[in-house]
Amino acid sequence: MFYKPLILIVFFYFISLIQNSFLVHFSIFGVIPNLVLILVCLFIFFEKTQTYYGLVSAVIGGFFLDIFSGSFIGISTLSLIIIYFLIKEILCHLKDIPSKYLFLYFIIVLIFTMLFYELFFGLSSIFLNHSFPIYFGVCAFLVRIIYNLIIGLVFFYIFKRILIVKK
Amino acid sequence: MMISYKKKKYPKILIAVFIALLFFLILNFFSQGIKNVFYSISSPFQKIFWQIGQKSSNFFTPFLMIGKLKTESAELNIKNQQLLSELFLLEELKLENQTLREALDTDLQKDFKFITAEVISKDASKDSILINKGSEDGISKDMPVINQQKVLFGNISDVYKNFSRITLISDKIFVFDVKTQNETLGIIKGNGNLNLRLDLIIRDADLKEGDVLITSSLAGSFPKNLLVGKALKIIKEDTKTFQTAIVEPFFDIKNTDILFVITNFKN
Repeated sequence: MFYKPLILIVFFYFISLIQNSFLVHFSIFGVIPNLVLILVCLFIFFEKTQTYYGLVSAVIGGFFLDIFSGSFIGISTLSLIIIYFLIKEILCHLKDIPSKYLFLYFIIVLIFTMLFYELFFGLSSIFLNHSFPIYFGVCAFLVRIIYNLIIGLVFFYIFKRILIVKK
Repeated sequence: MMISYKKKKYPKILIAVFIALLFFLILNFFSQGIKNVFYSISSPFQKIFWQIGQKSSNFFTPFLMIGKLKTESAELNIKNQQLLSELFLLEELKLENQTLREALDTDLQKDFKFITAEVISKDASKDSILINKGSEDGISKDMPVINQQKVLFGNISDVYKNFSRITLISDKIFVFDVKTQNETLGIIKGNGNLNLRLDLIIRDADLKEGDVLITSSLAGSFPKNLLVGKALKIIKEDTKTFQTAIVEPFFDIKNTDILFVITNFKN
């Protein structure tokens, strides 16, 4: 049982490295996709009822986001934990989601995740660093949302396929 | 496939989460050391990822830019003819420019000491990059960072034992003074997402698109005559006292490996 969180640690570690060193070269208008955030969102979305891998991935992903950024340790972790509980709360009201509309729900969840994360990160930057974060411009923010959504949908279908194969 | 979500009970989980959170908050007291350890372990991988990213983006860029390149090619043909006629005039200026450039080179090398560092990563949510030199190499906070062509990148914002974080001049926290070739003074403001904005240029000042901006020594934030960017779009409104401009920065993260940290500049 304990090897799974270990796999998640190694997985998110390398995803963070890829995000900060590889994806930098594929920025659009200076925007780099937040791969860690997208994957955490996917883990939460596809989490089964009796497991907590969504929460574990939120903690691990958040920790690596904090480590590889110049901000305080704990900001991303806290925001992803809150996101986890909020998403779970939203999803349990939706009851059963038919497969046909699954991706639509995921888009809503991902947009919500990004909005909350950026707002939380932005506000904490103002309080802790007394500086405004970079994504307060509307244009840049839209690019960020669209770019992350495209990457998110690609990974959504990969996740879905893996889950179908597992079944 | 159908996914069902049922309400879970979280009391134990919540306690664990708050313990974890408390643990992370305590970690902040040792964040310099912790981050340094992580960066030390990760830097070999990051270097590899950086180089792979650089090579693959260089490979894909021409394919992505093909439409733009066609239009640009047509425009360049017309411009080329105009430029040929101006070439003769420019030859004379070239000699003068070369002399000035040499003078500038010797000045900087005489005045400043540098530490060479390699770029290993960029923060996805901020305009900051990580280099592989830190306090052990003699780097300290607020030191300016440039490249070989004397293009200003930013300054050191966080120093770890073996690594440092550079906040790029495009970060929202940056405001510093610049001047154009014809000595028009203005203020550069970081606009985020690797963008810059020129502000507080007097309405009557002769500011043109394509004007090169260099650091001035008025406020002393950076050494003078470092390249900053090029004015892209001038915004001049009748109701405003000052004109502004969107600036294309000269620094290019994607094609940068080596940077120079100026160690003996005092702002």
